[in-house]
Amino acid sequence: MLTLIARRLLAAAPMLIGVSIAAFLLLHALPGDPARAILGQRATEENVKRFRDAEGLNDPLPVQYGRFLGDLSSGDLGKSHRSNRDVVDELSERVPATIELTLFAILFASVAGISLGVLAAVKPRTIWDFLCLAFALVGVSMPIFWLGFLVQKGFAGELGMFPFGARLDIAKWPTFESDTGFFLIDAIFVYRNAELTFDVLHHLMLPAMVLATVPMALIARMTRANMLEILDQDFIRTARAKGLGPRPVIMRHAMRNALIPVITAIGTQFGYLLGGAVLTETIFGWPGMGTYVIEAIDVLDAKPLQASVMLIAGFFIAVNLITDLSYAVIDPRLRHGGRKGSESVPGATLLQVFPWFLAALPWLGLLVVGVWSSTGRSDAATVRRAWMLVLALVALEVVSMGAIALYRGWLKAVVMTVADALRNGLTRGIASLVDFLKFIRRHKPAIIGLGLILFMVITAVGAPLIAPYDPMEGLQRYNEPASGEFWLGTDAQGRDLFSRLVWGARTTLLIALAATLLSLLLGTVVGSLAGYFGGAADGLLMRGIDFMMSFPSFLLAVVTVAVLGRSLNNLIWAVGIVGIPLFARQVRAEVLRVKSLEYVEAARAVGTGRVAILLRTVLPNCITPIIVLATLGMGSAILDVAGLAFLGLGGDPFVPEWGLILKLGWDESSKGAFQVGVAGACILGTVLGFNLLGDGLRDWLDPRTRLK
Amino acid sequence: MRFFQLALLISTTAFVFFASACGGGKEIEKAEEDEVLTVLRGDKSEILDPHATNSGGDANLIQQMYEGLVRPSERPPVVWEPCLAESWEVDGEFKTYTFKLRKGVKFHDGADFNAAAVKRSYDRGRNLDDPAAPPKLPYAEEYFGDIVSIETPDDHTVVFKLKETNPKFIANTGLFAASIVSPTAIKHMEGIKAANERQGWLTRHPAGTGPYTIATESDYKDSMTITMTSFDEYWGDKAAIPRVVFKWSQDAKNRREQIIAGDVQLIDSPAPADWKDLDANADVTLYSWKAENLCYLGMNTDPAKGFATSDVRVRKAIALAVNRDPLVALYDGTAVAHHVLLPPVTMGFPEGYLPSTDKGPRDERLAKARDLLVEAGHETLTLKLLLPSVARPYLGKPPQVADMLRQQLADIGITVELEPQPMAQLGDNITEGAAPLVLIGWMGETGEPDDFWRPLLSGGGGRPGNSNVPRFYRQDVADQIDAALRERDSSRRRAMYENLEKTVHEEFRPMVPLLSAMQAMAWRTEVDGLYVDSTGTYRLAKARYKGQ
Repeated sequence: MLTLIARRLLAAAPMLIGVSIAAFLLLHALPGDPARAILGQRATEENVKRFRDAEGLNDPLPVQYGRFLGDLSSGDLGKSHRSNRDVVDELSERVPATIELTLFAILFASVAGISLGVLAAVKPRTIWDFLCLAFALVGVSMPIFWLGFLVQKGFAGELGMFPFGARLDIAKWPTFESDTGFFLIDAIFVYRNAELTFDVLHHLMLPAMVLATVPMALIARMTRANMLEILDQDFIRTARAKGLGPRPVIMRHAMRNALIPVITAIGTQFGYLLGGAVLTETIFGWPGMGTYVIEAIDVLDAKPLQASVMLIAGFFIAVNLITDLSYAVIDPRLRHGGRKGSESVPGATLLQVFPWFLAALPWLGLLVVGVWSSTGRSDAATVRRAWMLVLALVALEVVSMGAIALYRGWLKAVVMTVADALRNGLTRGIASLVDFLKFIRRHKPAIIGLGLILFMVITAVGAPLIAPYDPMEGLQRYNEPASGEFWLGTDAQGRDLFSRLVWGARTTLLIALAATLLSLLLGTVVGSLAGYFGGAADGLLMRGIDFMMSFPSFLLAVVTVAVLGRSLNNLIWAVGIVGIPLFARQVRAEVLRVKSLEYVEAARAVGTGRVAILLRTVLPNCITPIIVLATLGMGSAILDVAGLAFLGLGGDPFVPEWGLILKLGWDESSKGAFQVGVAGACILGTVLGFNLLGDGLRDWLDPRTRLK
Repeated sequence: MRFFQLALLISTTAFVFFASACGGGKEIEKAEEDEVLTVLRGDKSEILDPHATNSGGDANLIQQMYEGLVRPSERPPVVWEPCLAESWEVDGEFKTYTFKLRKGVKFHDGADFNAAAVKRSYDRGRNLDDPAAPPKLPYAEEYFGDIVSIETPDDHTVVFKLKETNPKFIANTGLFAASIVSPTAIKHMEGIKAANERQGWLTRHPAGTGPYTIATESDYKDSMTITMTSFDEYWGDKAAIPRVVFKWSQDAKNRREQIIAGDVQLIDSPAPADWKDLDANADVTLYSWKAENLCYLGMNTDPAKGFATSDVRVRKAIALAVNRDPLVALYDGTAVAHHVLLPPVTMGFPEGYLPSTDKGPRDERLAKARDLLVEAGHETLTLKLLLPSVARPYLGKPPQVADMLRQQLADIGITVELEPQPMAQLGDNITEGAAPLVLIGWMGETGEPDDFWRPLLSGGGGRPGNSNVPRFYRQDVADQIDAALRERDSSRRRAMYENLEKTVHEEFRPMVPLLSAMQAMAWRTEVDGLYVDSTGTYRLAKARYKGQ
């Protein structure tokens, strides 16, 4: 156990260094000159120069990084250039706000989610079961900012039951001063004032409920599934046979066993929420970490962004570490076995890592030069030289790899795999489709999902035929209500809303598809190499993946767009990149499972090469679970794109994309409410479709559910 | 078992409520409703140092706490009225300004207001090397760069001597950046080493002479909630409402809901789409005014950059293709179409003049534009357009306006690619002249035409200035701008500015002025006495609840 802890801690160290390098580079990768950003538009050239010298912005990067680490170790995170306050001070106000909100949300999600899940499992195939499932699916398919908008409009606006935002009515409590940063604790223990406590709770309620939606849905679903499984087991039957009443059976025997994995999931969700409350905080004006990051991005305030990224990543790494260790505590097998092929870099010798490092170098160079040249900070000649060098390296590697591949027969394997796929794909594909369709005849949710997706796909394909107007052409009729002429009215730019939504189906699906394919492709490459070759390759690649996973995915996408610039292409990249770890992990797990199967052993025994086995034998047998993941991935890609567009990171707004359409409606305030409503409904419907279908596919693949 | 669990639950709840209800904790004051005015703003305020900021959000708050020698009139047009100076004299050359100061004025920190205090404050506000200076002085060079000396012949007289004739210097002394800061506070800041920290300290310990102040450090909670308290020793009428809380919400929808619900008493910048609703609401007063601003499309004129827009024929073609009516419609009628550089409220606005590209029916203009493009050899053309990624006071919906321009330029075969950028990045790209087209705007602060001409279409040292979007610099035009600034006869000065407009727009067309956005605030009808002065700053000192 101690060695496991030591090994895990050792493995976390390079990740922390990686995070610090990434955070440091963020300052330089952000567009715009940091000196000018700090001094403002009216600054003279001379002042800018003076400032750059004083701040050491002209020093070589390694020197600057050294200074950055020095500052970091003394707890100096720099100053926000906007407010000129220490970032540490600002964070000490923001972090407790987010923790308070998140704790409350998680508490709410756990109590409600577990109750709903247990109820559904105890009374299967009743209205409770249906409600639980429906809620669980709609909850994860809903654009959270859209829900926030509806809830705020309803409960705070129309009904006036809740305040609109903020943590406290400061006008009512002018002398309130927080000792702990946690207002609830202050109210109860420092001020000991019931009315104040109520006011704080009152402000907390609405945002916490909105934030709780997704974890609540996941928890409810997981609880239900686990409970169903446990209730079916022999010891429950024994307990019932002994004559125990239903309550002790459920409370004492079933729930205790079913909740262990749920509790772990709650922990992970807590980690996600801390960094991922960006959208909820924005809607409710909650002064937490999420809004802090967005504010920093809006004015390109580098230091707060750096600090937040490091803090959130550090926290995430800690949560992952604790989760890993708690698994080890629960599952003794992990304590001893499972070392081979899945362990970290410290286990591998430098010699093993080196070739992989060498191979990765040109590509890394490509990435670095790409980002660097896009900042436009250096003169054209230097950039050109750098490009030439990197491209030459890449070409060298491609040519030499090609030669090796040809020599070892890998190319032939690739060609044959493609030919095989073409030959078998059609027949096997049709057979699987028929089988799947047969299966879902009894699986109503999947039929609904398939229907929703088919509807959207047909709309997308037939957009030119269906849409009565050009989605980008202004008709000089602004903000008109729905009528026979314009079925859903026109938007503020005088374009037909219905046509925009129809074309929006095409753009949105294509963007989501591109992003999902990107993560699928890169994730599969990484996952299969790591899983199949194991050892150093595995260690190196999976540490890279772990590094990416040390940021909440939505936040990572937000920062990626901030660095790359706001455009549709960058949106695809951002959403695609953050999806890589999900696929890489799944593919790796599948490859690990398949590669120990007998037919792979057989292929190896007859002398087939390693690459050929991977491509022709292992990967084709991993594909089905990946398809399930891709289906679910489409849903979350649509949500991520919409969320980014909502935060104003969506790029060119003339493109009819649902998230952008929603955002444009949002900007119109009261007049855009209808537009926000319908665009949100389109997103909800499609994501729901993908989630329903994904569930159906998973059930189809799962032998346990198939047999039932 | 069940009983035990139930008992545990009840006793925990009871404990929490007992703990919170039995009192004995730290004292907390609960304010009566009519003792507090809550302001919900779309801007944050993070630098409350008058010399150090150029953000409109900061300026509004600073002007509740600080005062200058003169102040703008309550109603437009802008007239400068006595404030901390009771009167002033100007010599015939407009080079020496003598101010007679008000007596019996106290700063928030108890210091006395006098001539020495004025000199000390100006010295800090115009010199980065001053031992108490903040890290940046955004207005110093432009507005106070020509001060040669400040003399204090007696305790209540200050004499400013200028390098050159400057008839608009009075307006400069009325700018919020010329607010007088207490000498005691400045002395304290001399002891703070880092310039950043001086500014941070002043933000939490304001020391002006205004009707409101931030009483304790904790009243500046974070940049999102700031509480101000009325200043008991204010030289004028003491503010009627003892406390003002400033809150922040970026979302216009949210601000609208809160003012309707009565959760707050004053909001700024309501969304144009909401103006009508708010105006119709019996509980809310909507006040709108023509602001001194301009939204325009800048076209890069620099031949070195090699954009097609360096050809004046292309620039004229673009100007011909622009149709302002749909843009005004985007603002829901809260903007006016605009054809020249100066906003209508600014002196020197050429009444009745319309550039030749903006005359005639659109079909004819489009045909003319296409001919010009053919002549210039650009039958089809792709141009990049940069725009701010966040709303500006003159440009409430940047992507929507940019998109409309894209549609209009498509009519003459120009394909426009839009790229939204954060302001800091956009500022860099403007200075570098990185794109052929930029959608942006400008705000005046003192009603002075030079505030527009010099930064936008001139520069210094033979080069265009940092904010000069078209990178347009011609010595002859720059000389005319200089001459107009120095002209002492106001009717001749007006004529010079009017002439400049005609020369620039007919001959060079470096920009297409699009519109001038109106601004608005909304407050609850139960509040009386609130007003927005002629420069667009809201003043809270005279606000009171009805029946108070």
